[in-house]
Amino acid sequence: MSAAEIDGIAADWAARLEARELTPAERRQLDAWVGQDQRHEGALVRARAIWATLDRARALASPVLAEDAEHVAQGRTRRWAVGALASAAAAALVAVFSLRAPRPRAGQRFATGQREIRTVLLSDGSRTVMNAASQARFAFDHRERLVLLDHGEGWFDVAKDKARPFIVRVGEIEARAVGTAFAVARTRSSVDVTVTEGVVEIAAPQGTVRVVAGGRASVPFDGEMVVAAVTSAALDRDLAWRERRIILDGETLATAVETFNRFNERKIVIEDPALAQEPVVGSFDLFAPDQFADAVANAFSTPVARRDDMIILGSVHSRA
Amino acid sequence: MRGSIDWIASEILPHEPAVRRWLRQLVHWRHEEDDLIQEAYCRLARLSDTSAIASGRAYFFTVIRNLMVERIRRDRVVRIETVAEIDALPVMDDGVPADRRASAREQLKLVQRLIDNLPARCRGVFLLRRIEGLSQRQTAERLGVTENVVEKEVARGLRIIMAELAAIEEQGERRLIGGEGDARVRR
Repeated sequence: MSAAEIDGIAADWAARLEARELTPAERRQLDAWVGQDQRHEGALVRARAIWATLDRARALASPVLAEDAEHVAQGRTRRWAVGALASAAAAALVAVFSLRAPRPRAGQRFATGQREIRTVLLSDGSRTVMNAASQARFAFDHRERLVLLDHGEGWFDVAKDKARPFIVRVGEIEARAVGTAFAVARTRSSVDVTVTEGVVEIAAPQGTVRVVAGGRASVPFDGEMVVAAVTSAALDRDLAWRERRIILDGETLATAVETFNRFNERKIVIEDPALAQEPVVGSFDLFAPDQFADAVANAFSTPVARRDDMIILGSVHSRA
Repeated sequence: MRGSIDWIASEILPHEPAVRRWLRQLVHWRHEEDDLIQEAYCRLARLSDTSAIASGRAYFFTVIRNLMVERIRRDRVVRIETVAEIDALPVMDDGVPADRRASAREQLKLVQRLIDNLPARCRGVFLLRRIEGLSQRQTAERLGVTENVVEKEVARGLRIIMAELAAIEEQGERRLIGGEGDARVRR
């Protein structure tokens, strides 16, 4: 059987597996087919992985499109919006999910709440991930793509456009790039620019500096600019929020829980003071405190109890 | 199996074009490209624990190479040039941070393109199922067709995408591996 024929059968099975439970007869049939040849199993796995990948577009696309539906019509038409669909329902769907991101106008504002991290797709193809409690205004025109970061932190994955530099401005401090990726955080005392890809030019009253990928410039509102290299592990860790994750590398459980509690309504409480001082390592979904608590309970063989909106770790006696 | 599928989707699938490109360069192996890829996915799915694998890309190359070695052992007559070819594995762990290797935007663009190229009805089904997250039944209701039709369209679309993904000429490799330095900053 040719590879293409195998792929065809694998696609049929993958479609069925994603749709519903198999009947016992179908299950036997599938097992027999998969058992015949490693290539069969491989093709099925590949088909299912492709299916799993396709919903990534949703994770990346939905926030801004849901938020700015009224701007959708003004965006430029993108490739996959072209072409009529069979039914009216599907056509309406395309209007909303066409990835025609809003074209930012003067002061088009995006803000995130205390407990949310949002992805914003921009009309030029760039993408911004806004950390919690952040606000930015987007003002694009034919000369430049300007982002005013009012507060908080954003990571900018910039689409290349030589004619229009992408500029993130915080007060008098500017980070500019043509096509690159970098994060800008406004802290109480400084603006920190972390470059994850390419080169970013930072202009501040103190002077102008170029920072390459893997570097971070800290520009205090008062004092000298500091540029330092950041290890890739530290970089991944510091920017894990973009993926809605937290990467822990030996922080105490107490510190980790503090972060989880900041992002989640559902609070984790540590009953055992010794447990609170244990170091924790791993990568976790920032918005899944239950998962984290279970992982901790598992790793430290400690009980976990749930009550109302609380997850209690290390409780020998249940609080209930 | 779900867990390994998700891992393969995020850590292996994006590197398939690179692996295929390498295979196509090997004159004695290129006719086995599809077989090797399918078998590799099978091996990868059988891994019980993927947490120790730092680079899915490097691991993918290694699995393919091991499959080649097995084939050579199986053949009674070993041709020197076949062995020589697989000794020339491309640079595997490129040490590039994950977000430079395949940025989310590139993945999104690829997904967009793959869905975009589907025939109209197929595309409608994929948008509802994958982007809007509707179940098969809800999709059928929305489109006014039977569930069976939806399942058929999903299978058809998957077949098309599987073939397209295999045919992709790797893009953006230069950007992913080497930076373009100062050329990116104007002024």
